[in-house]
Amino acid sequence: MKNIEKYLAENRQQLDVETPDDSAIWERISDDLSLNGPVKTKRGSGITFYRILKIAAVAFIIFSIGYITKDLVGRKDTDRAVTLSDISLALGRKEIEYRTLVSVKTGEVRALTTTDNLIIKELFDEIKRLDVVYDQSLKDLKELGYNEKVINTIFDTYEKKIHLLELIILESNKQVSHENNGKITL
Amino acid sequence: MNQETFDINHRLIEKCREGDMKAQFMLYKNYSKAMYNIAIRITGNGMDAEDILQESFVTAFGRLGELGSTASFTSWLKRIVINNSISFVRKRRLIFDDLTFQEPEADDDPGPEIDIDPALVHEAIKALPDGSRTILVLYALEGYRHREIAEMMEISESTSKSQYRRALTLLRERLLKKTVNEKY
Repeated sequence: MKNIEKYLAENRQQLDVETPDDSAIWERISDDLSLNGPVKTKRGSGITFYRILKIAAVAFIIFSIGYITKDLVGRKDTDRAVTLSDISLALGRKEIEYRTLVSVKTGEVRALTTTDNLIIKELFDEIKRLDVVYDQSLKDLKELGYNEKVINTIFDTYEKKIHLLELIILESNKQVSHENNGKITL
Repeated sequence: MNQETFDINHRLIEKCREGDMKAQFMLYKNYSKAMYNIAIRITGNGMDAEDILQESFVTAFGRLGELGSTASFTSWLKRIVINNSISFVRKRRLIFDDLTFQEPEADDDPGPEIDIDPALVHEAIKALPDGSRTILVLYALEGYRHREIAEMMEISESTSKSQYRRALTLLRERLLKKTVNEKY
C-alpha cells in the first residue's frame, strides 16, 4: 500500500499521459469567448463601467429567461431541479439562444396571426404536441441527469418549434397579402 | 517553475487580461494537457474531461482579474478544473462503494516495489469506481487533505478516508493483475 502511495507521489508528472484534442477544444473555447465579447480583465475592485455592464447583462438574461418561460413559452417548469445550464454552461447558453429566438418568433406570430385559418390552427396544434415532448424531456433530464439523447430531443423541439413559428408567420403573411389584394381590386 | 518560465507566464497572463486571443491560446496550450489529465482522472471519461476543460478555461479567462499574483495561476486554474470536475461527477449522482467494505489492517508490509508503466496506472485509476476514484486523485495526486475533500464533496471525513483506502486496495489489486498478465 505504501509503495503505491509512494509511486503516485513520485510519478505524479508521468501520469499525465493523455493528450486532449486541443484544436477542437480551443475552437469551442474561442466560440464561447467571442459569444461573451472580448474578455478584458483588469485588476482592481472598483465598480467599473464594464462591471456595471456585466451586471446589467446578467440581470437582463435572468429577466428574459423568466419572462420567456412564464409568459411566452408558457411551460410549467416550476418543479425543475435540473436545467441545461446546470449540466454545462455551453448547453445553458445554447438554450438561451434558442429561447430568445422562440420568443422573438412568438412575438411576431402574436402580432400577425388570425386564428380562422385551418393550416395555422394545425401548426399551432403541432406546437402544442412539441411542448408536451419538451416537458417530458425536462422530466427525463431531472430523473436521468446528463443524457445526450434527452438533450438532443430538447434542442430538436426548439428547432422544430422555431420552424413551425416561421411557417405560421409565412402563412399569416400570405393570408394578409391575399386579403389586401382583394381590397385593392375593389 | 524556473524564472524564465515564470516571466513568460506572467507576460502571457497580463496579455490575456487585456483580451489578447493569441496569448489566451498560448496559455491554454501550456496548461491543457495537465488540466485535461486531472479532469479525465476525476471523471473517468474523455468527452466529459473535454467539456470541463472548455468550461474551466472560459471561466479562468473571464475571471483573470480576480487572480492576485500571476505566480499562483497554476494552482488557481487547477482549483477551477477540480471544482468543475467535482460538480460534474456530483451531478452524475456520485455513488460510493459499499461502506461495509472492511478496511485492511494497518499495513506494515509495503508490498513489492512497483515498477510499472505510468500509462497503466493512469488507466487503472480511471477504471476505479467514481466516488473512491475522485478521492484518490484529490488526496494522493493533488495534495488535498481529507478534511478539504470532505467539504468539497459534501461527505464526512471518515467516508473520505475509508473510500481512499478502498481505492488504494482496488488499485493495487488491479495493478498486480495487470503486471502478472504482462509477465505471463
